[in-house]
Parts: sequence; structure tokens; C-alpha cells
Amino acid sequence: MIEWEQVWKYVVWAAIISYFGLGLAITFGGFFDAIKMFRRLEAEHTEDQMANAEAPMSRE
Amino acid sequence: MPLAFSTVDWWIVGVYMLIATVPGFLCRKYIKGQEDFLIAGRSLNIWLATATLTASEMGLITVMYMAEMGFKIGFSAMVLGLIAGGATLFVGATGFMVAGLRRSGVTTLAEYYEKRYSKGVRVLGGFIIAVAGILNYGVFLQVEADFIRIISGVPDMHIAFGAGPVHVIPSINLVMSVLVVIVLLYVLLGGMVSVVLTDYIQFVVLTVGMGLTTWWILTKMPEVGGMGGIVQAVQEHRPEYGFNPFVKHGAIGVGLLFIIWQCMHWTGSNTWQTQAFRTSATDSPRTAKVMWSMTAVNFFGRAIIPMLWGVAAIAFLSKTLSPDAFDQLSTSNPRQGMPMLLQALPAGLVGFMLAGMLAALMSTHSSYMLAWSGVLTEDLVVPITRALGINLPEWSRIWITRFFILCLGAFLIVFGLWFKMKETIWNYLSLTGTMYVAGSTALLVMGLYWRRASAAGAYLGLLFGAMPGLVYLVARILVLLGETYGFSVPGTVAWLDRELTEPRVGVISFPLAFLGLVVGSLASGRSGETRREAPPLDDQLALAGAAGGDQ
Repeated sequence: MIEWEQVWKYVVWAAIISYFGLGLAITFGGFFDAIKMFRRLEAEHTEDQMANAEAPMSRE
Repeated sequence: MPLAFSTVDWWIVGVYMLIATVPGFLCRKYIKGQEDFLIAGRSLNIWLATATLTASEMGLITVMYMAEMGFKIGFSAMVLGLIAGGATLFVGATGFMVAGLRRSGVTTLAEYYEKRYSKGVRVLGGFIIAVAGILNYGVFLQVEADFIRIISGVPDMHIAFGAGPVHVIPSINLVMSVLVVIVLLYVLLGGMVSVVLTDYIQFVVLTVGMGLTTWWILTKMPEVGGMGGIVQAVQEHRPEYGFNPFVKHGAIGVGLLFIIWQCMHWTGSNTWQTQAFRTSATDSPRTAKVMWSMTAVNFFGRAIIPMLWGVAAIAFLSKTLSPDAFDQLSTSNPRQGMPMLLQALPAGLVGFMLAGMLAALMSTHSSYMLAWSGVLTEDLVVPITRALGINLPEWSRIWITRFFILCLGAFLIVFGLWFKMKETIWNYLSLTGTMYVAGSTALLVMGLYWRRASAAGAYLGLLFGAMPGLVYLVARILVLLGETYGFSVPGTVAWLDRELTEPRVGVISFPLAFLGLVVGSLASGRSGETRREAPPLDDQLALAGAAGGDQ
């Protein structure tokens, strides 16, 4: 016989702990990931700008 | 019931809106092509990918329908959270479907249809994806407006021009329209890069808002009485079916059929375009797998926590409303239970919670706008124009996508805000979702793991997957039209309307889609290998045998 009341109590606490625990980890991890993403995009952006600047010279 | 929403709360909401939207406008310079616009140049690492997937899939509408289920059927509703978490963990841990999709290098799911099957399958698939997705999305604002109206207590506006008659404009219409305009602006200007950034900010605000609200409900509301009080209220007002998900009280309750349907739905839900985009945006198949494993925890929590609020509303409202009013609410408008509970939060916290919910709303809208407009551009316009001998350049595809985003914004305001739906929101969402997910799951699974899957089978799989939902919708609309205009529908239509319940439609749709694909493939006698443009099927088959091989 399943004690459903107990099951749902465990489920609720498991959800609260895991959801907010992971939320904390994602908050910190995501911050550094965002910095990494922008560094990568910035580097590509700079490369593109340099390539665009060089293009007319090469035609000359 | 007194409203706690005060000036402080409006300030909190206003400051949040600035913090959450301004960064999106600053991302324009990074957008140089359609890939940057739609999938952030495939540059997402694990944490950011998980944050953005969670934020986009945790909408205000999610909170509303999860809480509605909790209020209506008690703790039993939480079985949905267990299924969502379990199925997503299975997908993440094994890489089932998602690793193959990421490895295929496609941007949209329908693009995969073309690579694996044919251009025609892509167009049909894209059409079904777009129609089902947009219809699904169309009712979001309506439900969200209900929440904001109850929480903030915004009054209707009375406008008179000179000595003319007084016009009554529901203020919430204006508030929601402004929100859509803001979302439109930053999606139009930034695309996925801005969505990713704002999603991250919104994820943080949403998580803090949800955490504080849950803590307050469980510890600071004497009417709720903590977990003990909630359990006692469910025993009293939702006896038996409120705890045991296999027991039904008439039509109320979860039931076995619903559980089977949801198991299939959640396993295949990674093909839902807004989620498939996130798989495509990861920097590798390994990141896709880890992202989905972590998202399992989030999917579990995003169901259970709003459901807990809904269940807590049973305890709170059964004590604060008259028995008649409580019964009336339970039977005729359970959607309003949770917002009525949250009205009782103290000033400051209610503003922060609303900011969190607005965060959920905006991240979902931005993501959905991008997803459906991307499908319309990449899977309908581009293949059709290509067939006509016109090769659209990159810049024009971005502008077409932006045009569709604008159309979607207008559609949302007209259809979602002013058009009144007769269906309940959960029925509507689950039905439109199944019309799409059943076929897409069959095509992706069999495309990746069955060498003989062919274009003919794919056509049948898509059509068979969408058919039960379509029959249900047509029968329902005909019956409603008959009731409205006083004509009687044919007996078969009435029978279909009576017998085709949502769980039945769901349970039928998935096997039908697979059956259609298998029968069509076997009957056509052509294997997927014969297509010259077929993706590296060996890679995908290797993936099926060794899911961890892409580490």
C-alpha cells in the first residue's frame, strides 16, 4: 500500500531543494558562461571588422 | 480580499523591466547572420544553455496551468512533474534524440526533415510545426492577463472625448500590449543573443521570486498552515483523488490514460521548436546532453512548485472564502485559485514575485516569437522560394524573420488578448502540442535510429500524428457552433466530440504517427540510404548504439 501523503511530501521537498540548488549553481555558472560567450562573439566581431577593413586594400 | 499591491511593488516591477530589457538592445552589433540571430552562433556553454532553456520554458502560462492543476486535483497533479523530470533525465542521460539532432547541425527541426527525408517533408513538417505552435502560443496573453489583473488589481480605464460617451478600456489590455511591444523590440533588434542574455537575467529574477514566494507560503501564512495544513485541506476538499493519481472522481483526477499520454509527450517534447532551438544553440552534442540532464531538475521543479502553490490555495481559500464561493471557484474557475492566494503576499514581495512572473512571461514570448518566425522563414519561405529558383540572401532572411516576428506580435494582441477562447487552457495547449509533437517525435526517432525510414513514411507519420487532434478540434468547433447558432450536428460528429477526450487523443496520436511512418516506409520500398543528401546516418546510428560516444 503506497502512502501517497508521504510520497508527495518527499516529492515537494525534493523539488524545492533540487530546483533552487540548481538555480544557485546556474546563476553563478551562467554569469561566467555569458562572459565567455561575449568574449567569443567580440573576437569574431573584431575579426570581421579587420577583414572588412582589409578587403578594399587587397583590391587595390 | 484586500490587495497588497502598492507603489513599492510598481517601482520594483519598473526597475526590473529596465534591468531586464536594456542589455538586449546592446547586443545588436553581434548579429551578422541568420545563425547568430536564431541560435546565437552555436556559442552556448552548459550553464547559460540551461538557464536560457529553463527561462524560456518557464512561462507565466506554465505557472498558471500547473497551479490550476494543483488547485483542481491536489497532490495527484504532481505526477506530471515526476514524468516531466524522469523523461527529460532519460533524454539527457542517454542523448536519445537530442545528441543526434545537435550532431546533424540543423537550425530548425524541419531542416532535419529535409536532410533526412525530402524537401516536401520539410515544407509539410514546417507547416504543421508553425500552425500548431502558433495556435498554441496564441492564447498565452489571455491567461497571463488574467494573472496580472488579479494580482495587481489594475482598474479599467474610463475615457471620454469631450462631452461624448465614456469608453471603458480594460487597462490590462494596454499593459499587455506594452509588454508585447517591448518584447518585440528587443527580439527584433537582437535575436537569440539578446534572448540569451535577457533569459539569464530573467532566470535569476524568476528563481529568487519563486523561492521567496514558496518560503512565505509555507512559513508565513497561518491560513495555509505549512505542509501539515495543506495535506489536511486536500484530505478534506479533494479526498482520495487528491493524493492517488490512479483514482478518478467522475471526470476529475489524473488517471492511467493521462499518465501514459504524458510519458510519451514528455519524452518527445524536446522536439518542440523552442526546445529544439536550444539543442541547436549548444556548442556540442555533449553540452546538449548535459543541458538536458540539468533541465530535468528544472522541469521537475517548474511543475511541482507552482502545483504546490495551487494546492496551498486549497488550504488558504477554503478558510478565507465562504463554502459556496470556494466550491464555485473549484468547479468553474480553478485557474484563479493560485493568483488569489498570491494576492495575500506582503507589499514588496508581491512586486518581486510579479517581476519574476513578468520575467517568465517575457523570456517565453521572446523565445516563442523567435522560434515560430524562424520556422516560417527557414522551413516555408526559403524552401518554396528555392524551388522557384530564387536564392534568398542572408540579410533578406533576417528581415523576413523580423517581419514574421512583427506579424506574430500583432496576432498575439488580436487573437490572444481580445479573442475569447471557450476551451480551457490546459486542454487547448495539450491538444495543439500533441498535434505537433507526435509527428515530430516519430520522424526524429525513426530518422535517427531506423535506416529504412523514408520520405513516404515521413508524410504519413506527420499526417497521422496531427490527425486525431485535428478531428477533435473540428468536432469540438462544429458542436460549439451548433450550440451557438441552434443547429444540430450529425450524430457522428456528436459522438466524436463526446468520445475523443484529450488523453484519448494524446494516447492515440503517438502510436498512429509511428505506425504511419513504418507503414509508409515499408510500402514505399525506398530506404533513407538512397537519398544522396541524407545526413551522416552512420554517425547517427552509432549514436544510437553508443550514446556516450560523443564525450
